[in-house]
Amino acid sequence: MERIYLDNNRSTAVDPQVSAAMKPFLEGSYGDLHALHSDGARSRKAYNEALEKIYATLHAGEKDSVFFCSGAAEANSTVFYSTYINFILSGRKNSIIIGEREPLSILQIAEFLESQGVRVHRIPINGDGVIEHERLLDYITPRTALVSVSMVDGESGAIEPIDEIAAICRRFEVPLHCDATHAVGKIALDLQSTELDYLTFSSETLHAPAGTGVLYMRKDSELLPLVWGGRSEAEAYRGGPLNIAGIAALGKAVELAVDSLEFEMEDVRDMRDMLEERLKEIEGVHTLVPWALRVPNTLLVAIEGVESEALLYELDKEGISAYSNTVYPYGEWIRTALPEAMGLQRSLNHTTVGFALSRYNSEEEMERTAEAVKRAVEYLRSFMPSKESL
Amino acid sequence: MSKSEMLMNGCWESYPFKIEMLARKPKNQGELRAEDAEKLEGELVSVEYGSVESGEWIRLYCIVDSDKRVAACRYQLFGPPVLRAAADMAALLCRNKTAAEIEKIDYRNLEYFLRDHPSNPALPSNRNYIVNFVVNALERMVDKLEGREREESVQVCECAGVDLLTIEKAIRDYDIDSIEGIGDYTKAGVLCGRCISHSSNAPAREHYLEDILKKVRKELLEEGKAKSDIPDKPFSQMNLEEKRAAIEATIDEYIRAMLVMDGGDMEIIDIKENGVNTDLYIRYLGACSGCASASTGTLFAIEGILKQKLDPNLRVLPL
Repeated sequence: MERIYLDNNRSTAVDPQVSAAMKPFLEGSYGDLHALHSDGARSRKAYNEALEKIYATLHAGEKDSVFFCSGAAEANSTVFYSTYINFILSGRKNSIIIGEREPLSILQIAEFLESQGVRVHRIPINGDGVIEHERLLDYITPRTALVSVSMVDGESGAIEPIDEIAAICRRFEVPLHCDATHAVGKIALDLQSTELDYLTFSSETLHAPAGTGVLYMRKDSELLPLVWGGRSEAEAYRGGPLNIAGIAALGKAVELAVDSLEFEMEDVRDMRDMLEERLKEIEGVHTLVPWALRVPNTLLVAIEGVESEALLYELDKEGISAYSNTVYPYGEWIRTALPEAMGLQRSLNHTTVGFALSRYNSEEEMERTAEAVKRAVEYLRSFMPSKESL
Repeated sequence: MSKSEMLMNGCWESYPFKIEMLARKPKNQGELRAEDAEKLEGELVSVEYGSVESGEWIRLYCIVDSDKRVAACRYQLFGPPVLRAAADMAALLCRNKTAAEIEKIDYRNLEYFLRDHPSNPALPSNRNYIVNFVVNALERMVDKLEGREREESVQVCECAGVDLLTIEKAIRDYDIDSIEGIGDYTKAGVLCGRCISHSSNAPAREHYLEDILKKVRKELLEEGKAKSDIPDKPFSQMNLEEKRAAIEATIDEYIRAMLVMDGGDMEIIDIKENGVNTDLYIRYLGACSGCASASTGTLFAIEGILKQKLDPNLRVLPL
C-alpha cells in the first residue's frame, strides 16, 4: 500500500524536474562560484538563472537584493540579529513586534532578545486564527525597530493580513519582515503591491530538498551578515561557498510553484475541500480557520475526545503521514496550543491534527484518508467514556 | 550535550517493542460496570486522574473481591499511545493484588516492566511523565481502596494540571535537581512556562517551580539523603559499610522490581569478606520464600546482576 503524505507544510517530495535541475551540480559540475575557469562559469550560470527566477517570482524591483542562505531559519535569524545590532544596540530604536504564532526560529530569537533587554510585543490572533492587525497599533511607535509577521501560518494555513500590516508599518516608517515559507506557491505574491522590507522563505516546502533559503531585502534597507566571509555581492550577507545544487533546485522549484499556482489554487483546493467535507461528517470535528482565510492546501481540525498523537499513530499505521503541533515535545511544538490561542474550549487543546496537501496528492488518497480518520476516531473514542456518562 | 542526547532516539520508532505491542493491542481497556462487579461478587471502585484539557486523562476501574484482592482492573483514557501502553501494563500488574501490594508498584517497577532489555530505559527522559502519571493514578486508586483521604493541594501548573504535592513528591522520589527534570517527570512548566519563575510581564503567582525545587532540595539536603553515599571507587576497595550501600542500591535499582511484581522480596542479612570473595547472605521474603526458583533461576539472576554491576567475585547465599 502506498503511503499518503499529508505533511507538506513541513517538508515535501522533491519534484523530478527539480532533481533533474540539480543533478548536474551533484554529479558533474563542481566549480566554485568565483573560480576563474569554465567549471566556475557553469556554477555562475546556474546561480544567475536561479536568481533571475526568484526576482521574477517575487516581482522584486531591480534595486532590491536577494540572497541565498541555508533556509528561512537562517534568513530570519540574520534579519533579527542585524536589527538588534544595527538599531537596538545603537539606541536608535527600542522594540520589536512579532506575531504570536511565528515559526520557532522567530519565537526563539525573540525570546533571546527579550532576555537581552529588548522589548518584544506579540500580536495575538483572533477567533479566526488570524492576527488582529489593529492590535499592532497598540504597540507600534516610530521607535519600533522591526515588525515581523509570517504571511501564512504553517500550522493552520491562516493567511495573515499582510497588506494592512504593511500599511501601518509604512505609516510609522517601521521595517516589516515576513516569513513567506508557507506562502510561496500557495498564494499570489507581488512585492510591487505589498511593500515589505524583508522577506524570507525556504526550499523544503516547494518540492525542493531542504537546505536552501532566500532572503529578500528592499532597496535602502539595512542588514548585517550573520555568517561572515562573503567574497562578492552574491555572498555579501551570507559568507561561505554557496550551495549551487540547492540554488539550482530552488530556482527550478520556484518556477514550478508559480506555474502550478493555478492548479494549487483550484485542484488542490478541491481535494482539500473534499477531505474537509468528509471529515466534517464525523461528529465533534472542528475546522480551525475559516475556509476563506486559509491557503488552499491546508486543513487543521480539532477532534473532540481524540488525542493528537494517538490519532497520528493510528493514521501512521494506515500509511498516512499527517502532522500536529500540539504533541509535546515533538515537531514544531509551540507552547500555547492553537485552540486556546483562538479562544476555543480548552478540551480541544490536545486534539489538533493537520493535513497539508501538495500537487502530488489525489482524490482517491483523500477518500482513503477520510476513511482512515473515521476508523481511527471511532477506535480512539472507544477508550473514552461515552459523552453521556462523562 | 552528549552523544546520547544528540541522537534522534526520542520517537515512536525507538520505543521498546513491548510498548509498541501494548499500544497497538491493548488488552485491558474498557469500562467495568456494577454488573461486572456483581458477576465477580466484588465491589467496584473507580478513580480519575488528569484531564482532557491537559492532554492526559485516565479513569481506573477495579473490582475488589472478598479477599480484598483486585479481581479485575480496566481503564479508560485520553492520551498518547505511550500512555495507553503504560496504563495497560499497570492494569495487568494490578490483577490479583491487594491494595498494599499495588502500593508497591512505583515508577521504577512500572518503567522496568515496559523495558525490552533490563538495562535500556523504556522511554526517553522527556516522556518520563507518562509513567509517573500512571503511577499517580495508581496511588489514588490505593488511597481509595484503603479508604484514605487525599490531602488537598493547590494547582501549580494549570496547563499540565499538576499540583504542588505531585511536584514535591516527584522531586523527592526521583531526586530531581533541575526545572527540566520537573518537566520530564510531571510535565509541569513545559507548556506555557509561566509557572517556572516570576517574570515582570505576567501576573504574580503563589507558587513557582524554581522556589519549590529550591525548598525541597534544601529539605532533602537537611535530611541528608539528597544523594546516596556510595563512594566512587571500585567495589573490591570498599569497606564493608560501603559495600553494603552499593549492594543495597543495586538491588533497589535492578532486582527488587522483579521480585516485588511476583509478590516477593528479599533482605540482606550479612555481608562477609572471604579472601577475594565477598559473600552476601540474603533471606527471601513473601512469595519468594519457598519458591522453587529461589535457589535456581531467581538466585542466578540476582547473582548475575550483582556480579555484572559490582564485582565478579561476589557470591550470593540464600538462608
